[in-house]
Amino acid sequence: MSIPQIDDKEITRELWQSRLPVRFILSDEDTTKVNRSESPEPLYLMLTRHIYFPCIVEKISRYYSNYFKGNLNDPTNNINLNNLWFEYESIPLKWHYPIGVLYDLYTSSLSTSSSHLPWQIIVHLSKFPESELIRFPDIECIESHYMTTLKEADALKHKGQIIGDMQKRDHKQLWNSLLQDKYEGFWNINMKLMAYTENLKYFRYIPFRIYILDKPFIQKLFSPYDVEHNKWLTLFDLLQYSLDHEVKCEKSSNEKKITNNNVEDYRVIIHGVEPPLNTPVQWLSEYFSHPDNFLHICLVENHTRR
Amino acid sequence: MEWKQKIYRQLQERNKQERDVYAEIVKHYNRLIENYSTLLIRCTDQERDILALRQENSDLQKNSVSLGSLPVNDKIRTLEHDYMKAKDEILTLLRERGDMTKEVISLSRIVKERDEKLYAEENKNQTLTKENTAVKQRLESAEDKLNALQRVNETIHDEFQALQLAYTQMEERQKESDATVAVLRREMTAKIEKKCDAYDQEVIAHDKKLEEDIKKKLDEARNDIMVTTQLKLSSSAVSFKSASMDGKIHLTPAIDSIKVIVPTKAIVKWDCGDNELHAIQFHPSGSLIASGGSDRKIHIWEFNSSNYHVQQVYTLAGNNSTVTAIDFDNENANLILGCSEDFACRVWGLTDQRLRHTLTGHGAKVFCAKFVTATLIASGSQDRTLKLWDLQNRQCVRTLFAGSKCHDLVAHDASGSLISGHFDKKIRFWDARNDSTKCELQLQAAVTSLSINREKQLLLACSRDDTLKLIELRENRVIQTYSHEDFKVASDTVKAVLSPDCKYACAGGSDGSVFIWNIATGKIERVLNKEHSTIINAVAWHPEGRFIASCEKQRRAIIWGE
Repeated sequence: MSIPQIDDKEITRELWQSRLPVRFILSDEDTTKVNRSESPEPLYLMLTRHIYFPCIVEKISRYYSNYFKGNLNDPTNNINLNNLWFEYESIPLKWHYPIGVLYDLYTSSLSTSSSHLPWQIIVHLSKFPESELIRFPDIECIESHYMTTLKEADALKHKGQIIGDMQKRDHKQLWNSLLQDKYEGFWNINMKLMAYTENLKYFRYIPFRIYILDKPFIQKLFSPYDVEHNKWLTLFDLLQYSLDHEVKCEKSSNEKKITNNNVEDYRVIIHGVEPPLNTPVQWLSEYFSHPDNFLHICLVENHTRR
Repeated sequence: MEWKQKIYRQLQERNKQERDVYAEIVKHYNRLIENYSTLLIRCTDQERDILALRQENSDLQKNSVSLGSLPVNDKIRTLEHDYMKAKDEILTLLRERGDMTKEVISLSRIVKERDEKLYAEENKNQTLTKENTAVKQRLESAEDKLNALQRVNETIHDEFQALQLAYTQMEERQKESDATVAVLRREMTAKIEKKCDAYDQEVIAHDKKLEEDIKKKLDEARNDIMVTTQLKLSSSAVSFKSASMDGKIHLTPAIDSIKVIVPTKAIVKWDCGDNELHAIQFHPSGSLIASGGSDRKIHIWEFNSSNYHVQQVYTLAGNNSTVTAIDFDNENANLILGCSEDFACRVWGLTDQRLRHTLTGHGAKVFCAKFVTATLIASGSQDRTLKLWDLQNRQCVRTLFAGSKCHDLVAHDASGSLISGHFDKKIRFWDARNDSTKCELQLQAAVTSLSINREKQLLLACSRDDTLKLIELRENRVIQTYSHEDFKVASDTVKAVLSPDCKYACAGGSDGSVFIWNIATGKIERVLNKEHSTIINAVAWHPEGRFIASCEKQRRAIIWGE
């Protein structure tokens, strides 16, 4: 029985066409301040997994400004758009993570029921949690955050050569294709970033971040190819190495310790799916990264061990 | 690569669960929300409208309520009363209004009439003013004209007076000149009478002298004339007399001293020139012979009649082509005329051998030229014209268009009337006064030469039909024809001549013989042959009649004599 060869392009296309159904509900205390007779209906949106929340703040603020009489842009008003923040099950959502990552991290670990869709997010317009979040910025900040992440990834992969050689308009094209959901435009440029340098058949180091609930993300230097043993390293190797390294490092620090460094105790989720642990890391980095060229890996504790 | 497969399958699962199930629902939900919000807005607007309408309605109701307080009947009566009053008022007002409008109409009519009258008056006024100005202008112009006319009148009057004075003066002068004229006339008539008387006497004397001379000569002649010639002379004298019957007593004196002898033998033979000889001519004195030919020169030879010796005196050069004819002038001016084939005639002086004139103007070869007087030359040429040249002005004074090549011509009289013989077999007589032919005589063949006698009564024409014709000039008809069986005219320019006493005619033939005919009898007198070998082009009689000179084509010239 012959297995049909799957083109890498199909996988990237599927990734690009990911959508999450999200339900936005106005918080209770803000609902009482609503100016109209009826309370606002929940707002349903299909959001792309790999963009950030500030990209869709515009839509949300427009919708809710219908219901309030006063000027929501007025900073003196208690209820205003500057105080906009999202919450999921009492967790304030950080705006610099891709939406998909946030979803995978929180829904997979918090509830036990299988389906969490549509993802219900509560919109707050007041009582901004100063201690935990930075205020939602404007669109330029998001763009610069994205570019910084991209440059960091290229630095790990190619010592920053390729991103440095690219022109400003290519950077702009990447960001604009991301905003406007243009697959071709994005991957035209992104392909350059997936090239190899220094006569290597692989990246120097793999850009990845490992997210574990309630802990800061883990980022390590990891090469995809084992020169000594002459073999391609897999996802399992990466995770094992990272966890071990983390545990070793934390011997010195105090809080937020990772207790379990056994890979098999965790569920590995990237882009909402659990790839086989023997997948070559190089391939994952090339075709399975987020648009910012990072592999965002969520590790969720596997409670139900069967 | 099962990991790839697994990944792909998982992605598809995920998409199915996350996206596909909810996409449609969310879209429709959002649309419903939009519709709902628009409906809400419309609803609120309509509610507002309803409220406003309700408000109006309630207001209206409030108004209508206040009317229902008084009892109904009283109300109706008062209303009726008010109504009647109002109607009456309306009626009166309407009537007043009608009156007012009538007044208005009449007044407006009056106004219109007044306006019209005013307008008409204004028009009249304008026309009158225009007429006034026009009349004034006319008056002015009339006055100006009057002034001008008065001035003119004065000037004319002055002129008239001046002219009157002049006229009286002229009249007096005329009277005086009339008187002088009458006197002069009387004197002139007297002088003329005297002159006429003198002429008459001269003529009478001249006649007398002539008669005496004739008598003398006749006596002499009677004494020493030979028998045969006496016969001839008598016979020719008869014909002569008949010819000279009416009135022309123009016998040249030299006729008595001419003793024409028919030559018998060649006296002198010599070669002259280098080529053919075309013309030979005696000088009127008889001592010089001129010959001309293809060598373009005219050779002058001195002829000593005592020892029969010929020697060349000089040569006249200047022609550019063959010399066709030579003529000497007969008024003792010592000029020689030669015409040649270079379309020109030339006149030399004999004393100094200097070329005096060159007469150009013909368009072709000049065949013949003769002195009419010492200052008038006639020439005829191949260009079918005859030209008269005046030597004093050195110009051609007349050109006669003959219509045919002129081979020879003779001068009829000193005023310029000519006789010419032409290629078209005609002899033309030209008038001195106009340019047309007086008369034309038709012969049987082309005329090659003409020779006229001294009295200008007889003309000898040689023609190509090998005959010589004698023409009598008063009646312009042929009276005699001369021919001989050996006599052949060989070319268009063969010359035949009359003897100076007009008894004999001589011509050269084509075989080299010289033929001499007796004019009166018409028979051949003598044939001189055996000396020339070729065509004889020209012959000439010595002016005293004792010798004949002939020139042949082959350079030889011979003088024949006793």
